[in-house]
Amino acid sequence: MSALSPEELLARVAAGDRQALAALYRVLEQPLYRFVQGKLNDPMQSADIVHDVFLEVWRSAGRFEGRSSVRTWIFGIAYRKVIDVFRANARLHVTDEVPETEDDSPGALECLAVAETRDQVRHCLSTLKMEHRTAIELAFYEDMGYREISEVTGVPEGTVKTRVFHAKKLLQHCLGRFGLQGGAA
Amino acid sequence: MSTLDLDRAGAEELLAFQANGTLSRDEDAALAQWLSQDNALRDSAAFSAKLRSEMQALPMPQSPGEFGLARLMRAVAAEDAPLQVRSRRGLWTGAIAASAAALVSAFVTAMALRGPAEEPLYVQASGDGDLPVLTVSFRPEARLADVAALLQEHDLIIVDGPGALGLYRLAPPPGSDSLALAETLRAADHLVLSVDDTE
Repeated sequence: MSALSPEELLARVAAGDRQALAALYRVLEQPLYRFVQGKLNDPMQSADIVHDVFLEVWRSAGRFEGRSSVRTWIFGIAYRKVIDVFRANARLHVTDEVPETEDDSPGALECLAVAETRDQVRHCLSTLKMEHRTAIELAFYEDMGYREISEVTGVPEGTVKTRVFHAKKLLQHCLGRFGLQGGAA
Repeated sequence: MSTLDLDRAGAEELLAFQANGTLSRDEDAALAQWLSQDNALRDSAAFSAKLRSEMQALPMPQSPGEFGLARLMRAVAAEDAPLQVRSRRGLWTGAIAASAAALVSAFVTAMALRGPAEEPLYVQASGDGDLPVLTVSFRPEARLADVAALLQEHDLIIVDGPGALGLYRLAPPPGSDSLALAETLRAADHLVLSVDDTE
């Protein structure tokens, strides 16, 4: 079962195959949880959302039309549920404004060379705004192309490219500051 | 040779997608032309690749995993089949049953996600026979996060359940006033259906 593609598994799910749903869960649960938890920073709520995502997959598998990949479709469901949580908590203010930063960062490669620990990368990710973090995480955790990210988030492809670009610049700056603070740059 | 008309800003925006290997052949070729003549762009490309590598090396957070799957399977078992083959009546019945089933496993997941505790999480129901125990049922629509928060707020520990009727036995923390705790739980009637403190 696990050798089947997500598309093949979803076709079986649509026919009522619970084992196919379990196999799909085992393939996608961890990345989905990471995606949701990265936005909400709440393990319980993130677990609830991932549960709800797979229930929705079970209920609506028969309506999947194949216009996107199964993975993109399921991440899109998760993204919409996260947005609902943000709206309910009035935490969402989507804007493509980029915070101003002083131009004091070291060279691009030096930034990561001085980022001695993974905690620094994780910390810098946590400083990004929701829309920038979503874009860079889908690009670099999930290796999605800009067209797929556009389908997940429902924004134009050009906006996705700009968000990933700015997220990368902000991370570069943040990591550079870590390096400067640590005196390693 | 690429047929794609790509300016420098456009080229820089594609670097992340070159790093994750999702560019089309045309985009790759156009970007290669820019990279061959622009050192700063090559640095930026190297940073993209390194950043992707660093992010992918970050450990996955601890997810519900098999506990979550068990919870999902219980919820799904209560539903007949995916939507397109179910009647409206079946849908409602399934939804109600699924909520109940989700709650049954909510505690298992909640406890699995809970951080290390100073006291043992579970107490043998057969031991410590003198300790008070509250027998509690929860509303089918209660959410895992809300129920877990309620239990954690009052340091309540599941010692048994759910039984066939969906009843849980909860141990109050040592030294606490179990009657007062029972009243507190009853007051949380958006989550709690019943509390029996007679044990």
